[in-house]
Amino acid sequence: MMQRTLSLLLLVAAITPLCAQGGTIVIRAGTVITVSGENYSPGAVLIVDGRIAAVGKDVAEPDKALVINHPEGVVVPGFVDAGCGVGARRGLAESQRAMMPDLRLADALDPSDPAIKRQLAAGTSTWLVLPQDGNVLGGRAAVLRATATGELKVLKSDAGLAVCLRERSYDREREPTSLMGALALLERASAPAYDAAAAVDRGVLVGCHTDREVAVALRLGARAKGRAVLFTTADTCDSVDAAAKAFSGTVFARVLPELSDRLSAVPARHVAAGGVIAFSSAAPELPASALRLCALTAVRGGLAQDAALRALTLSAAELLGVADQVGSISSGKLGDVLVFSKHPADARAQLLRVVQGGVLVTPHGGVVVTPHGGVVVAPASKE
Amino acid sequence: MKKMQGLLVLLLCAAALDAQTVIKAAKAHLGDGRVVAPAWVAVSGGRITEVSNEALSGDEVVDCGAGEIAPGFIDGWSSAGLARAGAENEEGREVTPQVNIAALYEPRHVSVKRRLAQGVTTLLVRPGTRAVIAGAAQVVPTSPQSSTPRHEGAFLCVTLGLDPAAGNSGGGGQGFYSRRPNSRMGVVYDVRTSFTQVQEALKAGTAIEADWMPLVAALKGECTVVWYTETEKEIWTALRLIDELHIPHNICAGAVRASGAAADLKARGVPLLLGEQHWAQYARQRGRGGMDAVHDHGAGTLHSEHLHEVEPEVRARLGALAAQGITHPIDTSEEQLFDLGQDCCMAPGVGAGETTVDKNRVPVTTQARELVRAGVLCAFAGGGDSAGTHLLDYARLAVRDGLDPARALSMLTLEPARILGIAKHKGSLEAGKDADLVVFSGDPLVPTSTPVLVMTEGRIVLRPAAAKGE
Amino acid sequence: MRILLLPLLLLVFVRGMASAQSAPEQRLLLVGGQVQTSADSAPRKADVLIVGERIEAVGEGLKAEGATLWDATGLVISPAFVDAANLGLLDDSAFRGGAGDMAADMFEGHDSLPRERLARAGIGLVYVDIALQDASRGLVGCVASTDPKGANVTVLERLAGLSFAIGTRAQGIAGRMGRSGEVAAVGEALSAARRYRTSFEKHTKDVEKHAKDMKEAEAKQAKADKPDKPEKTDKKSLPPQKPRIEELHETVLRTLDHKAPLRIEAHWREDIEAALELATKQGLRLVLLGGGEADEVADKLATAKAVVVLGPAQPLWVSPLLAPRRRNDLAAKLDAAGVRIAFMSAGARGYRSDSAPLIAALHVAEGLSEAAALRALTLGAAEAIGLGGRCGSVEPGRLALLQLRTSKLSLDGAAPQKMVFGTSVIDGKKS
Repeated sequence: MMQRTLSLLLLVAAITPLCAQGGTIVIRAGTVITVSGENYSPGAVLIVDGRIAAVGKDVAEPDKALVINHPEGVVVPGFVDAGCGVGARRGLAESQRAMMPDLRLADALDPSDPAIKRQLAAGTSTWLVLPQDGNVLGGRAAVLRATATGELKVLKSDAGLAVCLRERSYDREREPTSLMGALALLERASAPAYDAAAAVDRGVLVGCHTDREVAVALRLGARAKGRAVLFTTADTCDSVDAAAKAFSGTVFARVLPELSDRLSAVPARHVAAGGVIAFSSAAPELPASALRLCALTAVRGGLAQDAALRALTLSAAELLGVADQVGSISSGKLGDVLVFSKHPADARAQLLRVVQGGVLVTPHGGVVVTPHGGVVVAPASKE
Repeated sequence: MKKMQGLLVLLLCAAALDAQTVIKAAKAHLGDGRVVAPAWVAVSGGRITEVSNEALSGDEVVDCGAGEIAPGFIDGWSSAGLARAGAENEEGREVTPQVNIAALYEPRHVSVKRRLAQGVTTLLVRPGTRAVIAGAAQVVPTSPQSSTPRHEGAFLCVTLGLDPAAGNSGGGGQGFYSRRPNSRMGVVYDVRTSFTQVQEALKAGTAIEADWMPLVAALKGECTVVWYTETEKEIWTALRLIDELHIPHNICAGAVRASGAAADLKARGVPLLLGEQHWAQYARQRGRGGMDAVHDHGAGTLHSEHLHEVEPEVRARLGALAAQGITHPIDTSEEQLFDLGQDCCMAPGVGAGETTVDKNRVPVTTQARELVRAGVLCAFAGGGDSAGTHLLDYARLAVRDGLDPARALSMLTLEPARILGIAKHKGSLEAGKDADLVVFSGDPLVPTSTPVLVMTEGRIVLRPAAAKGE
Repeated sequence: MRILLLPLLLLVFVRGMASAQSAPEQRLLLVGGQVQTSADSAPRKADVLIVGERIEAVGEGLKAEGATLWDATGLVISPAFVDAANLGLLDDSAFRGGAGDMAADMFEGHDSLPRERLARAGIGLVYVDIALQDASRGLVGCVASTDPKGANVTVLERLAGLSFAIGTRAQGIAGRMGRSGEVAAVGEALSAARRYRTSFEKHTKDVEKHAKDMKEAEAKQAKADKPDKPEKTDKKSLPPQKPRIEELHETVLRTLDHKAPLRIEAHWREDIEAALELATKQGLRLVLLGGGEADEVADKLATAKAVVVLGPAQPLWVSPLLAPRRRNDLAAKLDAAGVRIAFMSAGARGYRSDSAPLIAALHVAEGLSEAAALRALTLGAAEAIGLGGRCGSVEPGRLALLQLRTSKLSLDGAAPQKMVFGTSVIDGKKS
């Protein structure tokens, strides 16, 4: 506990400098959906020094605050993408050995990745990057975010141990060559690493693509005592109830409009079964906007709009273990706020504003609000 | 009287052993940015004894006329003098700190001779980049007549990026290359594991194998770690590892693209050796404009870095080209090509915007200027053998892209000497330093100037035809 | 000429046509509902009388003898959506179309499931297209009704339009011809049809001449020698042989006669300009598919009254070649510049074939007004598929392709309560 608090403090310390550039912003809108608490209509959010200072029907407007008014708009927390490859391009498959628990995704960061800015433009404030699934134990995932100007930041460098039960982790000419072999390795050789990771909150991230793999994952999920997160697609539709119970949550990738009605209903079924769900954009292979597309497809499949928004924000933050920092509009969290023209789970909703870490993001570079309230326009890219 | 006698003996001895040679030229670039004109440089005993703008006398006066003198160039990232093209690689293991390239260095090798003729007098010869901890590098002279290699400083080469993983199969099987590492992540893992193992052994006081002693030296600051960092992302990785492992002396080397990390290099005080730049090709493109470059490269390749400069022109003329049936191979995955060491091939007009390349990225050719502006201690390095990749060309082209000429010249001389820690003896024309110098027919940074005289440690190894007869 | 062409046009409409041939046409009267004439108009109380496949009358208190009454109380009667290019109703083999392929030949009319899904999305009509490859292959699309209850034959227009692709920069990879070559190929297809028409016209004259000659000969014969009549008839010369009929040429001729649209897929500015120039030269109206950089030539497109058919605002897995620059707000820009737009689901990976309304909604999310998006899904698409003036609104004379919703037309993603195809009313929502 002590250790956790300490690491938390360190984390906060690491974040503070990036937020120092944020000034004072007041956002007033038709509706504020906080996700964690009550909704306000109309509502307002106050962000001071990069963090949310107040939210309510109205907030005090400090001197020299940048005021953003959207009487028709809907304010929601910045999205949390529970799985993509942004900020760590290429060179992520360390597949020669099956068991590589000590690899760190944070070692392969690429702050020059142009996809980082695209995450911001799509409203994604924070995202998880997993080591590529070439190993049974693939190393430590990382939670990344960007500043409003597109600088890459590590929010959490050890965001869980990646376990891959997909075929590509055992289809090579080395041990294991089968799913049962992979399971045996996980249950014996790597038990200490696995159990150590599982002991940490939300410690094990299990990747599966088929019901057969989920069946194996369920055993692991049980061993992780509810501290395992399942990463899958809607194809694992037969395992809904069991998975919803065994895992602390399920992250769905590629819930895209192409899915049949039956498959697009899978996320909704998970929620109905009491599961926690989040979505993964699979960027940069897919555009960053695929994250919201997943939510829209899940809504078509019967998920309630607010449940879809929760999956895009607080649920994802919880599964990534960063819910103390992001995922909802509540005092003390990072100032990641989006203004939409409608509820974001409506396909027609236009993203009108992105505030990242208390700084207003513009399509070309960032507008940096200084602590003294002055507005500095960052150089816009040539067009 | 006795005193006089002693002096006379000394003088006689000096005359007998080390006659004073004076080189006369129109100008001398001292290497630290200063210029002396006209210039006389007196050399004796392998060292420079005086640099003056007034006439000096000597046993031999070499008059280079309108020539200009510069300190001998220093290439801080070289694989010249090795029998294998490219570089020596010990691939038996990923971590081989015990190997030392210096034993293989052959100054009579044609690649060294060629560099000497270009005015390069000192090299840091280094192992290849196929192993993660690739072994020791060594400062060596390019002159075969030089006395035994001077063991100045100790360098340990560490490779980041994908080079050590390239060619390794990620699957199983029995082949030699069915092995780790397979990723950038795995390469870092090897670096970290090696250093932390040594750190733990040091802490515990347990015995450390002799093979691993270079790692101990690196951790103790007795040896400089040269990180091979091809692009910004590897530089950032190196900086993270330096902080994490507490390594005191570091150099980032071989960077083809580095300006994005300039501020971070400056903040940590880590110097940078810019790597081989394929600048010959860039130069052609810049010189003739984008459209000619399209024609030049046959099927029509155009480096994406320049797209934002030529795009309007390209766009305007593309129609005409297409009407002639000229089509363009397109590969927008710039990064992939880049990592393969190829130039980026793109169709002119392919959106240089969000989908492919960051428009705001500094063109490679201007990065020397950007790095200098940011205050990074940096030098040109990695001059290749092929035409147009001479070390000096890097400086010439950087000047064309806006780098201060004096600074460009010092990035070939004093700056690399500082980075390699040999500035006490090398890098500038100063009394007391080694007499390594090169005389050009004119301004060294003008492409038409050629070396007419090269001297290493006081010995003239390349001599002007006109001066020879005197 | 036109008389000769008519039999070739397979104008079949599901029920209306089928019944029209035997019994008097069926009549359906929708009463008690509100009518939203087009995407732009507000719903007003009115009844709709449908006779056969067409809307006969719209107005309050309509009376029709023998008509089936259908109570539309509480519902808004609005035009069904139209997907301006759809591959979802084709056999898989159609995805690599060859020169002159007919979408109608590969149309999977027997499977009513996809049509049911389309109808549930409010889509009443689709332009069935074949995946385009290049300019040398003029592909013939068909227009099909999505009526799930319809019989096998639900093709409304067999030779509905002609599609080409021009994409110089995209051709580099495949090593195909350049833009000039592609434009020439399209031009050649049009010229070939003109030649065909000339020979056809010549044939018509020849037939007339032959008939006249025969008549004269007969008259002479009648005067000269009456008893030998049967023998003489046998010796009559045969009429000139008709030129071979090719459906591709027929379609091109329809295109030249402004009966079918000239559809060209182009994404890069230069390609779009070339396509526009080609269409202008031929005196045709261009339907542009894709149009990644169309906003750069928006004025020209507006002047030429071209229709731009757009796919998703943010395509998934699309090659940068086909989406030169990510201009998510392309639809909004074109609409602001007065360019007619429509939406298509064809070829968009990651999207189902019933995604046209979703694609429209996602364009709204990028700044297009919802009214403009709805217009594009109805009247805009009608123009894009060559049925301008024949569908896309609830007006007398138009095809009766309607959706019945509890509120006015919107892109909220909800399924309509009912769909009306001619005189049949079908459940919109999944039961």
